[in-house]
Amino acid sequence: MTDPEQAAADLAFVRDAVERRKTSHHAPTPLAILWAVIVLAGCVINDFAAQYAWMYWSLMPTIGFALSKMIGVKDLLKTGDFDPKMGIRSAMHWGSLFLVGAPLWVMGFSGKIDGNTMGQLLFLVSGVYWFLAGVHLNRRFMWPGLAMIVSSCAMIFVHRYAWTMSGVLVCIALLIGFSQPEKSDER
Amino acid sequence: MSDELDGFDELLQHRSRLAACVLLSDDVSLSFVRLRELLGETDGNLGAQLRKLEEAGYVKAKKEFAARKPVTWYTLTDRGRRALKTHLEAMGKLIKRAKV
Repeated sequence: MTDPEQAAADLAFVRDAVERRKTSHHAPTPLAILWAVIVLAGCVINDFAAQYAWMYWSLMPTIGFALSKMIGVKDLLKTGDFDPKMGIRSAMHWGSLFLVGAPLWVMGFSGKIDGNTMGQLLFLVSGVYWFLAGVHLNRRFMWPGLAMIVSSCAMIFVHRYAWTMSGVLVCIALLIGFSQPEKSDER
Repeated sequence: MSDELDGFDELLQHRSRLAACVLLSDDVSLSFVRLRELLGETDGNLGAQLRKLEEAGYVKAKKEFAARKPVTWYTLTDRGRRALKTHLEAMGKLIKRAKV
């Protein structure tokens, strides 16, 4: 080891292994499909069966969160790569979305704001959360987040089938985002 | 040169053992299969290297069953972290000195 060239070669081997770990892990695609289905179905319901929207959006985010956790654990066992710090960070990020969404939900239920406005605000807040998840956790969330932010702003001006169009846009952004390879600086 | 030699850890002079410790130093748990995939080692060789690290108290192994299959998870111990830090510092000094 006292040979500097050998030391440099060993460090290069270590660097390659570290780099391989960063690039060889992909956020599970079932996660993207799950949320693409949840968002698209919910947005279609908002436009075409608005009477069921309350029920749908009261249940599905919680169910989606639980299913996401299951998918994450399954992926963890499959890849054999467990990063507790990242797990806690992800859980706190997505879990706090419920805390932020709760006051909006209460405002909607108490009649302070109408259902559609509440939906738009929740969509905007969720979009910001997804975008920030893209900044801090995994780049793949960035585009769907941006799509949600843009959609919630566009809904101010577009009224006909605005939710369905937003759902399709987010769905496409999610599926495209998660089909891209992970960048090396994401983990 | 003797200053640098003081910091070298004999166990970490094998590049697979060194790489395993560096990978685990990120406060993560990695399975045997994952380490084998990242280091490009054979089962037998990696098993032997990890056993040496385990015997020295540098890594801790934990066996679990996932879908009825045994999975061995590895984590770096505090002792391993200290040894790795000292060893990497010595390596850095050696390379730096060679470049001057």
